[in-house]
Amino acid sequence: MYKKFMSIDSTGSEVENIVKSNDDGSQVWFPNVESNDGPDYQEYLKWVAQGNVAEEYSPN
Amino acid sequence: MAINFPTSLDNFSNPISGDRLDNPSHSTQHSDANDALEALETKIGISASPAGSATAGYAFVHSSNGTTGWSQVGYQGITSGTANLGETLMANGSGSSVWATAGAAFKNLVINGDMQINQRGTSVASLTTSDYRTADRWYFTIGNMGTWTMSQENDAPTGSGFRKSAKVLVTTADASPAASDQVRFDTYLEGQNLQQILKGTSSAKELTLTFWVKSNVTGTYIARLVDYDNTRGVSKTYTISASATWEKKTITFPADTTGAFDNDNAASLGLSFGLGFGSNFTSGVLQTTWGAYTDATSAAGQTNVASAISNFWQITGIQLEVGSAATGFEFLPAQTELAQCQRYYYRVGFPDTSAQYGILAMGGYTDSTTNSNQVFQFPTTMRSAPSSLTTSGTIRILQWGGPFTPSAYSLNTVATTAQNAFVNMTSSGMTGNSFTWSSRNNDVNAFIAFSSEL
Repeated sequence: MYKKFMSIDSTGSEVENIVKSNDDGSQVWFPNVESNDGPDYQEYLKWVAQGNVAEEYSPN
Repeated sequence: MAINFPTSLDNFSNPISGDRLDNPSHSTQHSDANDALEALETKIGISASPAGSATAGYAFVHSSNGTTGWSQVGYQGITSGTANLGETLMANGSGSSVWATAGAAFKNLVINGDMQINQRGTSVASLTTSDYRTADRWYFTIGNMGTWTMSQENDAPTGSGFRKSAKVLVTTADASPAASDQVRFDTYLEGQNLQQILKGTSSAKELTLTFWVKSNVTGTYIARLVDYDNTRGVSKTYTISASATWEKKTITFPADTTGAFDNDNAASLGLSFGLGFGSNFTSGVLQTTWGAYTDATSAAGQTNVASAISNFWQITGIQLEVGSAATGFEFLPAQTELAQCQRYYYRVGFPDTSAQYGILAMGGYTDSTTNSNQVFQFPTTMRSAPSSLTTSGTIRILQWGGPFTPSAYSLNTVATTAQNAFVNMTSSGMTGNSFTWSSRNNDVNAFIAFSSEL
């Protein structure tokens, strides 16, 4: 359901991102950072708290 | 001598002891007194029935048939309460009058209470998890309790002025929920938009909730307010009496002199409509006055809409306003309501299906052969920098030698603000250090959306 991948921000730092694939074919993308207070990230944290681990996502 | 009334007031001379009958003239005295009385009668008018006497709150009025009498003017139905500063008497639409703030702009604390705006589409099926679905600003919480379809319906109470409603429909039932299971219909409000409630002060104000609701499951339902800044809550019940029939409900929540709302853009107040709960939420006595929030006292008595397939619950016309008066719904222009919603969620593309190659980002640049940085300008300042983006359909990155298909998207967290987003789109084979933009790729259903929802 959730996968993770790295991106590089404007400062050159690496940031981990999460992608969630929905049943309707849409995908939700969000940074895996503590400052993320959005409901998508909060749902991801609940999923992780249940013992789940995101697989690696390879964009290319 | 002729009298002055009603043109102006008279000043008659009173005879005193010892005056002669002709100075002042006795006949003139009578004539002036009679003329004055007749002028007063003409001024006051006649009454077809005994005029009665004045009591508190009555005024002397002319009726439409030319008679006069004592009557309550604009005071009909007032039984208690006093006017606060700036309030006037107004009809409440139920045959009585209330003290309320006339013409208050944006009196409805809730956004999209008439369910007119649905940037996410009109129907989503097979729902088992929580998220914002269809109607903007309304979060459908599903905690291990059934499978649902949520939709925006062209169905609303006749003559109410509403044209749309939000509907949730059970497609897999849960008649025996586990203790922690729940299903709710929620919205969350920013603290900075709630300061006028004066919560946490001795002048704290009541809140009145009005809405239209319809369900095939009759019984007791819970509407709940939760203060997330101070972990406090209050719950009230309402009853759906007739199956599958629109009913108008009004609930007044008490004032809370404890716990002020933070004056910021975070979620301070949650409004929840209960649809079903496990025993963790129903085992206590319903907390009908503000107090420390506990699950057990938040939803006692709630009917279980999830109990059978095809059960449904439908709602529109939700208004939450300051004070104890339920005033008429505040209808807003479509562009205003859309802008309110876009503060929390902004979608480029579908459900606008007007162009299969419609532009998504108007500009950007490549800093390598695999990364295109694209800028999205928001039509209104969002609540905060978006916390996520959603993509759907076939999207293309445009560049000389392209187009290219993006395989991943990421919000550039150090360059994305509440005014615009800087999105890294990953692809391959692009030319580095050159201009790019993006569009739908022959797909009217494609979109990119940004969320700063609460």
